[in-house]
Amino acid sequence: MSIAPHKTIICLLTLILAGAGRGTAQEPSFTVSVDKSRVAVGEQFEITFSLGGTSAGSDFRPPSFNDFLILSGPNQSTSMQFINGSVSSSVSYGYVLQPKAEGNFTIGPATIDYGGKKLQTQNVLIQVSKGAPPGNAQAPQTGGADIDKQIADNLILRVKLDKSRVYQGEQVTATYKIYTRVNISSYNLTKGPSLTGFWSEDLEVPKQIQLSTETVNGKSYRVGILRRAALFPQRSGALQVDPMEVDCAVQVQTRKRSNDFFDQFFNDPFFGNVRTVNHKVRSEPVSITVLPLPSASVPNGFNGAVGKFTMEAWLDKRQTKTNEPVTLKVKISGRGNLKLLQSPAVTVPPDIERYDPKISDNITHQGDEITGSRTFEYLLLPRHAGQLKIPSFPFAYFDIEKKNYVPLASPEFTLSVEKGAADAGGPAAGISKEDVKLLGEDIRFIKSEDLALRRKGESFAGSPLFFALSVSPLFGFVGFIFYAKRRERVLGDVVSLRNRKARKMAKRRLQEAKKFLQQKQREQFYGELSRALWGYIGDKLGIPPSDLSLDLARTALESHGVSPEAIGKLSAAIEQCEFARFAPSSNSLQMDGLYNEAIEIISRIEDQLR
Amino acid sequence: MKLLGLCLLLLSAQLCLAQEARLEFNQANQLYRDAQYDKAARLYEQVLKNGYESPALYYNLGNCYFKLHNLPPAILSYERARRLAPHDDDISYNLRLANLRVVDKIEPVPQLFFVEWWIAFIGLFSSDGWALTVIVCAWCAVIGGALFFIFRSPVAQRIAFAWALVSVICCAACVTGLVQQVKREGNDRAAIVFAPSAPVKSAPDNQSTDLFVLHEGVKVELMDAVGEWKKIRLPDGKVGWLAGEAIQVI
Repeated sequence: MSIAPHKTIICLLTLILAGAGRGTAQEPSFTVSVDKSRVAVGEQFEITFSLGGTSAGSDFRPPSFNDFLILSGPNQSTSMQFINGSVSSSVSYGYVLQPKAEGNFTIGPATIDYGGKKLQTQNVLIQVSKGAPPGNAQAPQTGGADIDKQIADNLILRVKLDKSRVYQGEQVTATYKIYTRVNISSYNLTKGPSLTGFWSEDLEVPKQIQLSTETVNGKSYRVGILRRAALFPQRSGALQVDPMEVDCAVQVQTRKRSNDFFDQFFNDPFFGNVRTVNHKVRSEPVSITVLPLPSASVPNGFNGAVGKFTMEAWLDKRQTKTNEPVTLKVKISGRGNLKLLQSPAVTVPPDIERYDPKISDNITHQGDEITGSRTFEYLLLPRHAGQLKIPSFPFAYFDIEKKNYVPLASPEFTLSVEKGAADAGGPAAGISKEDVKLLGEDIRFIKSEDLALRRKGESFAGSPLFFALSVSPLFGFVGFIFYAKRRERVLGDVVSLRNRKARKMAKRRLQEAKKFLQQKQREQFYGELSRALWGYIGDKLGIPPSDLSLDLARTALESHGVSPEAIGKLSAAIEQCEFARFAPSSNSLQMDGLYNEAIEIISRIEDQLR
Repeated sequence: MKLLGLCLLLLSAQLCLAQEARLEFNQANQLYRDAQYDKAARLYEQVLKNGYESPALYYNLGNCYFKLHNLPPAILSYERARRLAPHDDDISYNLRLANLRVVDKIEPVPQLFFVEWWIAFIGLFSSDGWALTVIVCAWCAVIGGALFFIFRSPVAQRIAFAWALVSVICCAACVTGLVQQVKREGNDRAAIVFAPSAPVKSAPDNQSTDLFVLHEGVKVELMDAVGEWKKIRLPDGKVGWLAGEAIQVI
């Protein structure tokens, strides 16, 4: 906060007029002076002990500054003058002090030896008031408040914006001007405006403030530009540029009450006893209306860039190997809110790993305009070989002058990636333990015996040979059947045929007999039954019907291993048939029994002949 | 008899030509043993170019490419070898080893058990194998039928009949297997990705969005084709379009 100029001891009292010098040449003087006798707690002041004479004194003893802190001192300065052959010298001892507490304090005399004489200064009374603001606690003669008001009237800080209605992201130039009618020895920007909602970039102002003259409210002021800044509102609505505070060290002329002739002399306005007063000026808050950017037809790739830009994009190399990085640089240059530019959405094929961009700015101020470039450096790491395409990516900005969006697009890049050395046969992630073990193994050796070399595209499955081989069994089978039948017929193998048909024939005759049985046609029934039995035996034994007799049948059956019981039953049944055919006495019950017996006999002989 | 003679003549002529291919094959094997894999591969390719093929030829060629760290043709060759000899242990082993080096790991979607059984059944034999089984079964059936008529004893007849019936059923199954296998082999239903990295598109044109990226060596199933574009399906069920030059049909 404090900017009180911390001056080192200034030796003012070396100025000795010729006449005075002559008059006081023999009379040495040893005086004390303070720059202010009324101070506030914590305020610093200066006390100076001056010895004027023809030679330097010795053994300077300062008073005890018990009630004060010595901030600096003793600061000794000496000056010598030769006037009209005589020498006059002046030595001063200065201290910078700070009171510890409030109250009235007396600083005792300092002593010094001068030509064997002990000289002493007078007591000094210091009035220490309670912590009044440093800027107001001075000027005992004219009164602090007065001076302050006087300064305030003559010192104004203003913020001027070049526009009051802007688009979001559009540049506004703020100029901080100080209007003064007083002398300012130094200033200090204590409180920069807190620019919430803005991105600000300080513009250059000359280091040496150049003053011009302006008339405000009929009063003529000297005007200096303290600071200029380019502001870029980051959101829309009514934004406020907060006040700025500046601590100024204002030089005011004061008079000091003193009985000392010298003091009176030096306090003469002509010599301008100048005091520095600290004064704080504040600017008024300024509001600005920020218009939102049109929401209609916002192009792809717009990310808040406002101004006028161009985009360049390039790859540092077009050919690389896998796992060797490539840099994609995107340079957006122009004027506008460069610092707010966001990285364009660069999409890369999944075979390329893309890292977050490194952003470097090169921002310059040309007059009031922020120009320059922002460069995005993308590190790309191709993971797989191939012709990898990086598609064109968009960037758009809002042109303030034309009041529309301007879309830009980067060129499309093709990166040809060769297989790097490290990539050869590298295993993939996500394989099982067993697979890992397998990876270490070598493939099995080649086959040296080629057992199935054949014409390409020629397969057995569709070949004529295949069809021949697969269809031939069918023909073979049909042929076989025909062959068998023919052979049977040609060889007249009636016996085997009859044998095979014996049962069938017997069955048919039995069915016929049953029909007669149901119709109660006795004669026909017995005739059919006997034919069935005779026929069966004849067929089965291969005896022609003409040769067949009961005796012959009996011996033949015996030789085929048919049991005598069955033979007996058979002959009994045949005899019964023959007999009953011509005997009228038999009833239907008898016929039924005989029929069933015939069936039984045939099935029994069939079994036993096997 | 004349036909048989003609067949024998043709066969001998073929054998003569095959002899030359066999010589080249053995020469290539020697080169492989001397670790001159690129020369061996060229010679194997020469035999293939002359119009011959065999499981061993494809298998050896695959080995050459594997040794040369050229993954896609290695896998392609192994796949072709396996197509001719589905149950060769060496081919399956080396193909598995080669597939381990493929970047993309694709988890196959589990099939329903009966679909799996069906596929396993069809894969039991190559088309030639099926053809052979069909012939064997047919002859078995015919012999069974003939025996049925020849035998007099009913027991023997019954056995012959049962034998013939089983053979006919087997024959029908084999014909089914043969038809399916020929269909599978004939349709060129699979391909290997040859491009180091190939973007799979949502539609058969360059402007469409990239769905995913495949890398060399991946086996894809071919479903459809539009111009130079091929519709592919991965074992995990993903479907998309690939540029034709990025793949080679097995």
